[in-house]
Amino acid sequence: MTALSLNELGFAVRWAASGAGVPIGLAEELAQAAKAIGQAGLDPARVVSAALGGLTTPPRWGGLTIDRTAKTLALRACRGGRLMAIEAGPVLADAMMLSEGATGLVIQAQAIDHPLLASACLTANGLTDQTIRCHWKCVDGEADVIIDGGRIVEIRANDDTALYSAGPADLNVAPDQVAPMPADFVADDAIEAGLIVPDGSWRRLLRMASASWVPSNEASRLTGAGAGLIDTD
Amino acid sequence: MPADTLTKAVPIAVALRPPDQVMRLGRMGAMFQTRLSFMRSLIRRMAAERWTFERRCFDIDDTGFGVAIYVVHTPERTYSLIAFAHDLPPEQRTDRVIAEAWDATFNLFDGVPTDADIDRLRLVTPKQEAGRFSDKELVLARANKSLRLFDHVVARLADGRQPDIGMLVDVGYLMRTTAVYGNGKFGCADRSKIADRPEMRTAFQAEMLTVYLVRLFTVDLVEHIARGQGGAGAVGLSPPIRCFLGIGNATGLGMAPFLVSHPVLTHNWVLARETALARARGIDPVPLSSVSALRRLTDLAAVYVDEWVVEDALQTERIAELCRDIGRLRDHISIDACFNRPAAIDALYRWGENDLSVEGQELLVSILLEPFGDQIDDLCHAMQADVTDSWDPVMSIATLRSNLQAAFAWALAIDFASPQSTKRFWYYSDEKLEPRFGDRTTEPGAEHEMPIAVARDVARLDAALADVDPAATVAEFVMRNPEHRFAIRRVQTAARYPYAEIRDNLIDANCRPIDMLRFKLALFGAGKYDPKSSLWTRITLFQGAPFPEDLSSADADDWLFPIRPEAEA
Repeated sequence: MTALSLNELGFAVRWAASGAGVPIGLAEELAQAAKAIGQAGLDPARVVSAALGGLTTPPRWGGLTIDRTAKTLALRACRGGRLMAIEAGPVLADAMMLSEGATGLVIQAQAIDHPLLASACLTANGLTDQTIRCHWKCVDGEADVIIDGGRIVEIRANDDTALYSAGPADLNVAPDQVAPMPADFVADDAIEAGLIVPDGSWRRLLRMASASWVPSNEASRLTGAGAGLIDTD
Repeated sequence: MPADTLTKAVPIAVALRPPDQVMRLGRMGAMFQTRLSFMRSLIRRMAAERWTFERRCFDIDDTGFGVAIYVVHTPERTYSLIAFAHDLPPEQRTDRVIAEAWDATFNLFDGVPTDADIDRLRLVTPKQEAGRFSDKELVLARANKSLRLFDHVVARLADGRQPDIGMLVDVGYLMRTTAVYGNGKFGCADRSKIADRPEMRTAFQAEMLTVYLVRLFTVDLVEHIARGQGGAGAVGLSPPIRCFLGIGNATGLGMAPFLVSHPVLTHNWVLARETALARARGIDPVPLSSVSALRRLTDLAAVYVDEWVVEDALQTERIAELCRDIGRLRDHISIDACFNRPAAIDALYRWGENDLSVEGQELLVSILLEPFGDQIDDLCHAMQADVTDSWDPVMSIATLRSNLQAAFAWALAIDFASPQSTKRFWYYSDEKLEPRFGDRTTEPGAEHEMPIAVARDVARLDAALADVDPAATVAEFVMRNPEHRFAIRRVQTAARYPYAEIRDNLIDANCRPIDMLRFKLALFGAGKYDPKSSLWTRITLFQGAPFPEDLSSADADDWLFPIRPEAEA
């Protein structure tokens, strides 16, 4: 296991996403989502690297549409196929903010990959005043994630398979009127003591991030940072 | 920033300087320490709260190698500096991030380390970036000796003499830090762990405390080695000389991306500084004691700037102009009529805007703030940020465009079709993640550039919005155009936090990153900027700052312009 700070995790996720062709605005939101997953005691590197590894090359962004009915907003890929959580998660968060106050409204993400990641995106962007329940169902099982105060505060899943599922899953997101159970996760511990992440998934994420770092050469070494190589002071 | 912090009553309401004036690289790269700078506020807190310092351990051999521990007791908590001193071959001594060995390496530890902690850190701290640290470590740092000064001071003290004053003035420090890492780097504690502690709430207080303690260590180290060499005949540094010695620092490109990635924090820093200036300008009438202080500070500034000698040709020219500026300022304020008029401080500032160079104007700002601590020191508490930026998907495209055109008019005026406007790019090298500044036309890697080119990205957003229904929401637009999410966030943030953006093109062929460095270093409280290129600079930190035993003295907060100590007879 590797002990990480939240800042290290955010940096690695942002650059791994950038290296995979994710637009920087989405990469930043992905980094926040990864921190929320880590603070909940789960493995953020595992789900992020799986989501990035599953992107098409090059990814096709912007192909989302929303179908509206009186009680639902249904988010789906324009051309069918799976929604990418990396892209759909922030869209779900935006939709939650747009629909704030709409009683009984459920937002659905149809055939989404990595529903945990999409759910974690709801911890960001001003949704901190709402309690939100995310429920998904897929071939791997069912899971619930409760978000409150900008954090994942409760997780219900039979096992890791459903929790870390790569989908496709149908994810339902709705305001939750029921106060969450007392959190037994490590949200505060993560701030105090950092995260503990399995070595393998962390190494995989770092390998992805390193794709964004430009190989050094003698010329860039000499001119790119402006300083001499030997101190003469 | 808390509202009550910004609404202090002053006799005359003076408008803040606008972002288009303040947030330009030419001005940012001309700023100086003020009494709001992070080092200054840290020292004031140390004094006000009567922090105590102890050297818990000094297991250093006669040649200067070993470990030392300095413990600081604040009202509620204890912090420790753990210092490891190493034998470094001269050929390995470099300021660059890519260095792999140093004369000394450090941790700021949360609490008092156990023997087990010391044993653990003894193995990893010398490795710096290649080591792994824990939540107990708040800061990781390293420093190299000044080859010019360190051995000279040892030899002089060992011989029973004080060091040569001229050499002290030329260098100003015994050791120079080459990196001071906080906020979760390499496994250290996240900023969020300490952000709610009163003594750490203002930005970079853990890092500044580390440097202050490193300064104590360097003085103890040089005196210890001198005693080893000189025995009973050796002497310690005289108090004025010791006080004059700061800590050097070599600062490169790493600071620049930080400013761009922390727009709200940048805004809060500048808003505090500009609010302080407006309050000072609004003071009327000017107390006689303040008039005396302003004249005394200007005299000190003249000496300070005269002693500021660098190799860089451009900065040398600017220093020469600054000397002329200070002469004009001295003449101007020597006349009593300058202060015997309504709104005298405001008039003095406005005189400076007309008659002084930009560097002279910013020096004047530092001088004008200095006598008015009672009016402005509370602003230090606002120099942090609880939020990182703004995001409002409900906003209409019409409002977004309006905000964009108001906050980024300067960016829309740039011709990004010109190759000169996009010639440079910023990237992380795979060599220890050293930030570098590349040439897009000749170097590989532009596809991995850091998101620094805010002006270009916002200009692209403006073009993309041209045909969008003004009544549509940001959420609708960004769902289909996620590549603009970053720029939209910048626009929304800048609309709310007007000092958030550097209002220049950071990828222009003529961009000088050193201006960004100096801006941030001035906020830290650095002095004696010594540019080594347009990409990095040496500076001096805590020069003139009181040592722990002097914190309670009447002049403990009086070190804006540290000047040459008198030579002992």
